[in-house]
Amino acid sequence: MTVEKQSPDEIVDRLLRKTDDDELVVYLEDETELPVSIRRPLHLPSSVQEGVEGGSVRYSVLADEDAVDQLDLPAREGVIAAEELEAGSWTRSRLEFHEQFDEDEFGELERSADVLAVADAS
Amino acid sequence: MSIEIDIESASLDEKLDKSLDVLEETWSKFDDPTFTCSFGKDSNAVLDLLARSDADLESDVTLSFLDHGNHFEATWGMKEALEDRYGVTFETYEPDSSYEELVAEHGPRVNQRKPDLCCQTLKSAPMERMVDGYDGWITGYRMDEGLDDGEGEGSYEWRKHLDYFEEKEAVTRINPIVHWTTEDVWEYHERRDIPYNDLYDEGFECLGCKQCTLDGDPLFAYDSIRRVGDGTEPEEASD
Repeated sequence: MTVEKQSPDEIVDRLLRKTDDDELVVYLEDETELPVSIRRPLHLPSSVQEGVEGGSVRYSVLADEDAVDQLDLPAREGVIAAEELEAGSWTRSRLEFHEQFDEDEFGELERSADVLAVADAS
Repeated sequence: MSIEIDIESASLDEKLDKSLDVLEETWSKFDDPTFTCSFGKDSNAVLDLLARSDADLESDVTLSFLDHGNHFEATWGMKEALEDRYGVTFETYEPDSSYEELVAEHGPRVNQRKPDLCCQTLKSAPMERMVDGYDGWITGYRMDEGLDDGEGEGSYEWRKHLDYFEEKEAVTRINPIVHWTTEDVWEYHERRDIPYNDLYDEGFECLGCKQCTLDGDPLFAYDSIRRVGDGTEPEEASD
């Protein structure tokens, strides 16, 4: 993996410019490189989560089907999550996967990894 | 007080007189009313009516706003503009759980997959707290919202049966613009030069919750919101 580590704010800034069906490559802390498409970009502008003074992102993303098998992901759909603890200052984004029972039913969080960088899929 | 006006043919002046009568009756009958404001067009019209009525907005009525964490940024601008215009401050309520907590427990896109749970947690439950202990709840509900709507659970069909005063188990709903059409609301904004959210000009019709509005179905809140103040338990959310 050859990617320059991005700051947490830079990652969110890139995410906020994306919309449904945009395709990204997510680079994770464990050197995984995961192609995803954005299923729903949810940006809460003023979170009521305790300890979060600004907003949050909870982007639903779909992992590439081959990657699900190769990386043994618990589900194809995951969430990129980050919080704006103070205005303009974001936590490092995480890519999270919950166990999935059927197409529409999710369970416990099974995997979470920090995001080092995101890039447009070429 | 029953609705004797033909809401399609009556003039806005006739309707306005009736609205002010409703508020006059409110101040005489209710000891402790509250107005929950979303800063949408209907709420803004009601707020202006409250300011025109005999009420002292600082002491005669509680003004409250629900911050569920998922408002459009422009809604906050409206809140600030209207607080300045009327010299008031809205008491802000928050839900007990955040959207993020719902995602942590139920997975991605919880608002799409489990809309009843999402609305119940982020809107209806805190709204129950907002009206709890008050004897009157002033709303911006309008019959017109239900008239052209489809029948059934997933709609505002229930609103076409509203009245000016609706006595529920927990609180009496007071609906001063229940007989106004959407056109009346906009005409009133123009007459009174009331600011409104620019997103209406972009084609959005319902601005209560950013994500569901962007998803194209702002009616997700239909069922749980309907029960607020009824004194009944919501139907079991799909969790």
